[in-house]
Amino acid sequence: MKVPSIDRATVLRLAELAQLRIDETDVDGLVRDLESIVAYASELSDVDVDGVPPMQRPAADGAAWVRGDVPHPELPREGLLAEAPRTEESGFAVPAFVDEG
Amino acid sequence: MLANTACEVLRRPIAEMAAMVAKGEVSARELTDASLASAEADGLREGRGLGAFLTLQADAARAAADAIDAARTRGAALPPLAGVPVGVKDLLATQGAPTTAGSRMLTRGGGADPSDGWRPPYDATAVSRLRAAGAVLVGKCNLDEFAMGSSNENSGFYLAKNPWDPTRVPGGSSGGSAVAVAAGMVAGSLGTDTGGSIRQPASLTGTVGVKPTYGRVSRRGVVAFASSLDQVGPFAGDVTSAAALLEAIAGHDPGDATCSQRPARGFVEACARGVDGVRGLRLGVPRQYFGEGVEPAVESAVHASIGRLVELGATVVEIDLPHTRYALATYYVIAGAEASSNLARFDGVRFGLRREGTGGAGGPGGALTAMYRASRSEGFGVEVRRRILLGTFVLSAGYHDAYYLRAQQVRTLVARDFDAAFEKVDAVVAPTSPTVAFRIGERKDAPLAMYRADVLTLPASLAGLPAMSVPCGLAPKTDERPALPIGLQLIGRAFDEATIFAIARAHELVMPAIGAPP
Repeated sequence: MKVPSIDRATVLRLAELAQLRIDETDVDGLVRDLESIVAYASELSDVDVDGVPPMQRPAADGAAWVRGDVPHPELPREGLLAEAPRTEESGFAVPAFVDEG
Repeated sequence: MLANTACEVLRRPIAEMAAMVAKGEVSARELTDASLASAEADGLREGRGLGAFLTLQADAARAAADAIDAARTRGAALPPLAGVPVGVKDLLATQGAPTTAGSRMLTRGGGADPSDGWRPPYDATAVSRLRAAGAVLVGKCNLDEFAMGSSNENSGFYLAKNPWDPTRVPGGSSGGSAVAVAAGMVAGSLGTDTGGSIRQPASLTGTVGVKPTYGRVSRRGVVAFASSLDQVGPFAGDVTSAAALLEAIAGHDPGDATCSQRPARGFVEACARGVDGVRGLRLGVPRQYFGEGVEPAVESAVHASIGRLVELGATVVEIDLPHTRYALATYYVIAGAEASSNLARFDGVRFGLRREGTGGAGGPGGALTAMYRASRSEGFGVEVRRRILLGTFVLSAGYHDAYYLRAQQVRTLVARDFDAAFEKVDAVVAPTSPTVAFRIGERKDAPLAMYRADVLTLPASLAGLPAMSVPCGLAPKTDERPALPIGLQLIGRAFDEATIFAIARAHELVMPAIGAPP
């Protein structure tokens, strides 16, 4: 497989998708880091995976049970809100994101 | 009892310590005071001491210890870990006590003081089980930010240092948990292991560290890094103590959908088989875990220990785990992808740092997006951002199949290698870390070189198997370095921790002790 090229535009696009702002001075370093890691990860294309199912998680038996469908007490609202950076009317507060105009 | 004697008791096996508390030979309070004193003397900041702890919960610890002593005075039966001081990696939630995940993302205003960390409204299940077993939680241990690292140099607060040589790293990401035990500040501790984060620091600090089978211990209340890999496990000074800690925390929890319902007992019992624990077992020695990149001193110590196990009646079989060389790439693709998704929750809304951003994209959501970006960009450190970007890349359109899906397929092949091996052998023995502790700063700016520290621990993580590291000697002192610990890794079948505990205990009984750090 051709190793994809990672350039400044790639890093800035990834940062946008990941909701990160990258300082101008850090961009070149991240380009180099990601280039080397992605090039290394591209070795996976050497492996014959024809017909091999993907493993999403170990075949442990965690999913072999379901929780009873019964009400149970959850964490109290006050406890969860107490540590939030901003709250309003007993909820988490975020900047307005709906145009009410 | 005198304080220095209580310090000495802290280095004894946990069952012995709890028995002394139960008999009144030492009080829980004395042990707790000794533990807190050594942690406080170490200093909770940059530059001083070993940096094992980020915060201490001194008042709560003393109150818990006093309650145990009072119960003893009343004649009440004490739980199995009564009065045993423990540390917990600061990735696990502790009710009302600062929990930072090693990140300034989780401190108020992004500050540099971990005691300003997020105070969760509940305990992680592993923590509440430790408390229920009578253990006294003295503090929260230092770690690489969000458990991403192999040296503890990525802590958002300060370095943790190796007690065998403070110019060297203790390993990571559970570095502080390993140091706290190695330096005798606590009797045991909890860490988490995603790709080697318990075993590698155990190896580098000469402690016992156990990564249980995926699904063995509840992750409820553990800040998630890579959910298909993360496991909680213990550190201790000896094998039976680690088994006792694992028995206390393991077992089903309806609060974690991935947590197995299988009984989680018999680990201490397996240790009680003593030198007979390994007789008749077939041990696989994987060709791919030796040779290039593995330090000669590490190889020879591991071979010497394999010889000890053979003398105790084990049979050694050379095995092949042919996909080992792809484990590192597989791991970084999968862990990066899962991390980029898990860390999306740190957005300035529910906990920790929040910065109202400027220069948003405009439109109705502009201010919200700007807030997300400002908060996350200030809160996350370099390595965390690097891994989020990598994870975002491998999940993005056009690369998902070539990287993420393919890594999951190769993961199947890594697991199948082990399945084939376990048809012929009962456990796998290998080095834990290819090298002894490396110098602080040596790999800091070379992500791939740092990632290679985990090359021998990643395969068992990918396969979800139980694995542990136990001390198997010291690399001889040279002109450049003092004598440094080496770890032997034991890997078992899924949910068969008992077998690797039995092997580890037999080995410990015939292995000359490496002693405490100088």
